Amino acid sequence: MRNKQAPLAIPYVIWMALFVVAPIIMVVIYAFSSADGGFTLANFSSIGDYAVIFTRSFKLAFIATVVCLLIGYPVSYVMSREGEKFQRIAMVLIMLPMWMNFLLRTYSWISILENNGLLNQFFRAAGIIDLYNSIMGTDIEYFRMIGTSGAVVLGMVYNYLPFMILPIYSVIIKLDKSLIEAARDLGANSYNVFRRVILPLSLPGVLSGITMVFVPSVSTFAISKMLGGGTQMMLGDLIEQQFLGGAYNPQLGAAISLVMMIIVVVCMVVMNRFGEGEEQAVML
Amino acid sequence: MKRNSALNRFFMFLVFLFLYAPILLLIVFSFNAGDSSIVWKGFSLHWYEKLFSNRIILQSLYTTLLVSFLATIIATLAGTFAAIGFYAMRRRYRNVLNTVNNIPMMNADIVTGVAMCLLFVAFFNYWNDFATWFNASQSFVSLPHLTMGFGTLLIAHITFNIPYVILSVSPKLRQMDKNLVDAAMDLGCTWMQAFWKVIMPEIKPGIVSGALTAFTMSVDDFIISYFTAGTSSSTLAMTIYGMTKKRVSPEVNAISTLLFLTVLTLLVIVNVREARAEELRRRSASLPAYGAEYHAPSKSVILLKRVAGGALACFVVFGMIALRQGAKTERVVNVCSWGEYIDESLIDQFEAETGITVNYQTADSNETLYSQLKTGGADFDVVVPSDYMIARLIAEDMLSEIDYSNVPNYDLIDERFKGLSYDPENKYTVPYTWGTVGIIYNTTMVDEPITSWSAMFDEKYAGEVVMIRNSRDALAAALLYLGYDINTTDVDQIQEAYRLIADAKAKGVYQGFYMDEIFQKMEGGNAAITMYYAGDYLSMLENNEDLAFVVPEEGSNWFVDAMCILKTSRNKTEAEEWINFIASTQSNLANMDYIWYASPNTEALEGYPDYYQEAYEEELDPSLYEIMAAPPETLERCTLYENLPPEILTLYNELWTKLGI
Repeated sequence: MRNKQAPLAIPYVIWMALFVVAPIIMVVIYAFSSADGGFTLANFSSIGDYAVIFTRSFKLAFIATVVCLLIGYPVSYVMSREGEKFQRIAMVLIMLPMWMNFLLRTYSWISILENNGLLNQFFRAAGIIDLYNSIMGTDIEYFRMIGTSGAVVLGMVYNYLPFMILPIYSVIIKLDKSLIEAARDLGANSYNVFRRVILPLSLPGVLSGITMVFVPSVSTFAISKMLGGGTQMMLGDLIEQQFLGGAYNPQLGAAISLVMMIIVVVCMVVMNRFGEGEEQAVML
Repeated sequence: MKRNSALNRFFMFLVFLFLYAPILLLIVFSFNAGDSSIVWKGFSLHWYEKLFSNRIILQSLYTTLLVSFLATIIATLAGTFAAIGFYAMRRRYRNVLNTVNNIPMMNADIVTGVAMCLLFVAFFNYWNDFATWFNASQSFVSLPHLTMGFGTLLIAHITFNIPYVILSVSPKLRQMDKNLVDAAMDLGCTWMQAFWKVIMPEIKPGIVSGALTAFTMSVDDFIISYFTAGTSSSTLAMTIYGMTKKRVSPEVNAISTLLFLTVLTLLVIVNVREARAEELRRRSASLPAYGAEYHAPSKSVILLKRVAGGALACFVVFGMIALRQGAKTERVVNVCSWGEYIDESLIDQFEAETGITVNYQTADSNETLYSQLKTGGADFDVVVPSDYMIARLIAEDMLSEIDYSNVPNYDLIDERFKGLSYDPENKYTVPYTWGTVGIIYNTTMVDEPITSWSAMFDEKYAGEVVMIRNSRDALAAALLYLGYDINTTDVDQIQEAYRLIADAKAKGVYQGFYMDEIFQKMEGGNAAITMYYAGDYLSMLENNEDLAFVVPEEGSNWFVDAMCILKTSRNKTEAEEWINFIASTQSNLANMDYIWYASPNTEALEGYPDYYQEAYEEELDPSLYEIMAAPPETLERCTLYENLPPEILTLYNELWTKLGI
């Protein structure tokens, strides 16, 4: 059957040329154009002014990815050791939140993290704030959570955690059980089984999880706007502002997108090298 | 394998608590009697009732489900064939194509969205130029003008969905025994037969899981839709985002709750049934003859079938509800306004009276509206920008003159709202609302009444002040405090105003820069001082009685939002009918009552206290009425914004971006 069926892919190849490759070429063209259409490098030279935003975006996305990994890996691991029924329900529960719009869920965090929000009310009622005041000798009425970079990281972790859990879980669950048994038979204790067998074999899932969390985190714009209180501007906000927001300048927006895209691709290539070109785990 | 300890279980519980706490909160507040998402006012189902008459939400739900459904079907078909094609290719080509295929998944959503937006806009520009030339040169065929809309939205969704389908079908193809197809064909099958009988059963789980992922991704997508939908269609996510300008209406909580509970219920039902069926199978499996033949489907397949079934049923249920909205008549008018800026029953009334379908959209700020118009995605007839933006649109020749003989109700508009600086000759506008900007503060959180803009920059209230997230208003506050004109073009004065805000920000005066969230901030007592619009203050007051509003002694801005017709409009007659309808006294009264912004219609403005008394059987507090419709002595202190020259607008943008850093 080889080769005969290859033409089946032709429609999609054309589609990709039109709607995947061509748009990226458009971004490149715009990035090197001035407002009146001439060639210019000015868009790139003004990117320097936004270095702070680049650093902040990559820093916060990095922290969010690490946190997701620290939570997501144990969850996947613990889940894979549960009974079948539990696993099934847990998987559904992890997917289910995606059916509620992420903007709404993020909006909901605002009322939890507010100065007078649920968490602070809870801390007050539980006497934690008084305790903190008496220990630290301060006089605060609430913990400031909203409008900080911590809140933005929390928003990212909240929204993208399932993207870390799913690929890792799907790799762990498919691990050849006989390998683990073999390791045990050869005298490995639980720690060594995990470190020498399970962890290396689940690396493809980890890598694909990292990609799936890092990329959307670094480019988010709604989360930073809602939870960061406009003081934690990220790359996504900056780009959005140039296209549909307050500062109409699509050329600059295209240049920033291009630079961000290149940095992300370089990060991913380096990371996948580190993973020895293991095949990406399929999600779900 | 070892079972988990209680500690592990507790850890899982915490993670689920983290994932579900905000969702529970949302669900709880969908039953709130009040309209706040932070102040609980008792149990009520009335948001659910209102939901079914809220056409903006239903329409966008319909768009979301339709686009997700179509995109999923097309992407699943195309993706499956593409995967088979890829599989049959030489490795070299396959690797190249796979890399390209991965681009939409590896790329940040915002880059994908922006890139497609640029492509569509560029193509449509060429196409529309060509169509104009072509239509003018002959009269046999008329080529349509294209704008971004449902079509581009669908293309974008298909494009980002196909990779997921390929990604889940390809491994199944690789796992398949290659000889099976050859064997089938040797035995006389045509390739098509072999495909259906041999390949299909093998890759079906992959197709189902790909389709499911695609559908979920489509429903959940916001960023790509936001950049490619143009303005004539709006998905639920976009509507919600638009709403965050003011406040997320609890109706959205209600519809999300319904959607969520539907999926949940379906999952539970299917799960219980499957569990029973499995139990039966397990029992019968003990009979050797049957057990040998039984082929246990993999766990993930069962799970996927369940979720897919749930998703499909959900689509049908909600599609039917939303379909009511699908009926379109010949005559349409596309209106763009701000979120929660109209009594929606007026739309139904207008449609019933005239038979014209109103396509009502919202933008989240003047600047956003401008960008949308410039990007070329807009397909509006009527827009409702504020004064300074109207001046800018006129200056850039984007508005069409209104034929006032078709708008008799224009005579009802008070003379003081005519001939203003933005439209000195009354050619382009019919005023919609007006009001003032002022300081809103919580009387329990400050020691003395606030009278000056200094409060916005005062270290005394560090961490308690919320600055408005809008360059024009924020800089205006600083300019006023410094004693300058809010329309100044003096670069030094503007720089000084910027430094005032930047210093205050550095000293920690500001809790944050917000627009929409100000409602929550002030209603929940989370901030002491902010600046906002008078009409919105009155809405906040309903949820928090401690709030006060003041137009500071240094003066302030007063604004007029007016209806205009765009030059690109193709429904001018309908647009004028709509404008005339909204300008009527009855519409103005309804709007005033609903949104608390003052009307420019003399009769409505003067008659509102009586209207209020009749509707609520209590007197309207005169001080509230004065805040809504500022008396002449207050207005004397206030100035309209004027359109600034381009270099000053650029300066505003630059300073504003710098402040964000």
